[in-house]
Amino acid sequence: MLMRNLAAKIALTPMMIIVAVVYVGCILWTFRTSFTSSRVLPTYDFVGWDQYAALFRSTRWIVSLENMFIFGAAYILGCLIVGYLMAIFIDQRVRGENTLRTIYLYPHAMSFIVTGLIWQWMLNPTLGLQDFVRNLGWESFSFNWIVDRDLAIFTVAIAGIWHGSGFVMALLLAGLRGIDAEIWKVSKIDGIPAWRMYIQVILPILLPMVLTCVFLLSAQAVKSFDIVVAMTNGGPGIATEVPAKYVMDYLFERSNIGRATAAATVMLVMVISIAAPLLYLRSFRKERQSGAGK
Amino acid sequence: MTIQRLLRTATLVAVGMVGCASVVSAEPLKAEVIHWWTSAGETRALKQFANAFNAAGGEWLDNAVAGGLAARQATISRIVAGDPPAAAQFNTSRDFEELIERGLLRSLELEAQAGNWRDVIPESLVRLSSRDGKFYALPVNIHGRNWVWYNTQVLEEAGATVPTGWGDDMFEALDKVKASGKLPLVIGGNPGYETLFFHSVMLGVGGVDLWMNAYGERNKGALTGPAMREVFETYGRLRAYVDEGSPGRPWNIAINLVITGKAAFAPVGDWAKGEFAAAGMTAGKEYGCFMPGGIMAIGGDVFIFPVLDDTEQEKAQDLLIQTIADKKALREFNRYKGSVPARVDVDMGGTDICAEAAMAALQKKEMRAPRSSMLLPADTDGEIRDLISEYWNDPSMTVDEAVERHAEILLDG
Repeated sequence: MLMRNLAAKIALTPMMIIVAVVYVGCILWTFRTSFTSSRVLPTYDFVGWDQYAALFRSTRWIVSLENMFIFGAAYILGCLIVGYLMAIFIDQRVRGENTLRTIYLYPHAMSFIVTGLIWQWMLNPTLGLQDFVRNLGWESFSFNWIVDRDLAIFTVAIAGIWHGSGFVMALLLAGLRGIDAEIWKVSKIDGIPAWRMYIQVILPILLPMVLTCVFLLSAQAVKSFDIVVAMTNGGPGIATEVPAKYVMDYLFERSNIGRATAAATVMLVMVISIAAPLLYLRSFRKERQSGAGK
Repeated sequence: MTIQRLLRTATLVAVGMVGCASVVSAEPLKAEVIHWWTSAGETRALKQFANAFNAAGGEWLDNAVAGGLAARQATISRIVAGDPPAAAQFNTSRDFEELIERGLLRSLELEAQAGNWRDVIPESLVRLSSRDGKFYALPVNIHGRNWVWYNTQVLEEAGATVPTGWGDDMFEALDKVKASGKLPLVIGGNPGYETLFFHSVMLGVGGVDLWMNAYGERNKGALTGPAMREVFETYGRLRAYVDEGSPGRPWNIAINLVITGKAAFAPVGDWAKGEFAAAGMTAGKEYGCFMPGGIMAIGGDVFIFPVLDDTEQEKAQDLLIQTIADKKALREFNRYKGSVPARVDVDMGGTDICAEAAMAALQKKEMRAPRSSMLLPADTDGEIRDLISEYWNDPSMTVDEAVERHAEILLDG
């Protein structure tokens, strides 16, 4: 048993060690450091929950958490809706499919920094879209979300959706192509309108792919940092701050390693508490499916 | 205990990786200097030190790291990993405080006494650079942070007179400019510049007394008193004079609006001078400058010299310290940098009127205030930036709430 796949096991050993030391090791180190008073350099004293208490007293952290959920919900929903619509559109056997697919997928090839900068220019009320439309003669036109504290986070989500929906399209299109043509024939005979088919029949079939998309997109949402830095840098005021930016600021600029690691730990705990039930659900479904197959 | 040591070693190794890229040579009188002066003007300024050092028999190994944050991280990583540079640049902040506490920096006390540093360097910089009566950092330049720049022509056309601070005369001028259809006030639209602007107002309205009581002593009476309220009220009133495009606007774009005559006033530090000079404008003619209340908020750069374990390298470090502390080298450096030397006995006559005004303010103890990051730890200073930015961008936040939270940060932190 031990000798089976020995070569493969030996080949994988360095990777396993790296995973253990770098990933698990760093997580443990971060967790330990969050209970210290470390500032510029790490120290190994013990201050209990002090850093966490300070963290949750900070308005900026609370706003960051709220923003992560608002951005995450808008971003994931937006990407799914726009991506699914684009996939359906391409699935109608349109001409020039390859070109369209490339165009739709292209934003995803761009970094978040570039995406953020482009959208920052376009949405800037005195340089971008608003100014352009006003110069065309529509003087009262107003689109100043990016400088509005309540709406600025949604402009970040818009940029994110522009960036991510092509990717969702690619995944869902593959799913649509895999759907049995018989299902469509049956629907034609029964006279079911296409839109109802897409929502009530096709979507449930695509559910595993949608879940995959949700997973990948939520990872992006939680670690979103560069797009915010490039677009609003957390402003106006602290209106678009996100947790990852809080960690970076405290880790480097504000030389407070203790607070930064506490924030990072809270982020990890949140990700686990959201991901664990989903993963459990998925394995549960799989089990039931294989059970039903027997 | 062993786990702790293991962890510590692991950290050292981890941070050490960053520093491995560049290797310090052990050959005589070579000295490596880490800094973040990478723009054209800054490089030219730094060359003055490098040339002087090379002329004195050394070899300047330049290690420029783009961005202050990255450069400071590189320095700290290198020192912690046991491979320190001969010298490194820091801001006049408390960022290097922990390095002193852990005995990682070389004491400059001998050089300080020989060069009479205590008498010629402004007191706040002395306090920042020394610990337990010993110098650990060498201040090289001073930037004024609270300047207000204006376009002379825009003011003339609006029929406004040049104010002296953030009082009624300023609001009168702002109203006139607003009526003339130009932008009255432009600022850098990010927390850093919004706070720089707030501090300009705070010094103009409250003076050095309020400044030192609030940020130096963290006196509760000063932090919640009527003077502080007036500062927040004045700052809040100024919201009405910035345009919609202000959030997110970089400082150089703001200055550019003043240069091109689209805006009247911009509160930015004296690094704005380079932009005016590049546009071919002269101080006192096409553009003007003033420090509210004549008070100068000072910040600048220092060099720190890590403890080295190699005698050859130490010799090079000795020579480097002598070179940088030299009055002639300081004058040449600051001429190109646009700042003033961090000692009051260097003659800067014959430069522009703004530099002369700065030098005059610098001579008087009651006219200079250290920037907030010299008095406060980095995280407290950062929390103040968050609050000021929030207050500036949120007109619904009351003065009471802002004053209270400002005081809370300083009293708890």
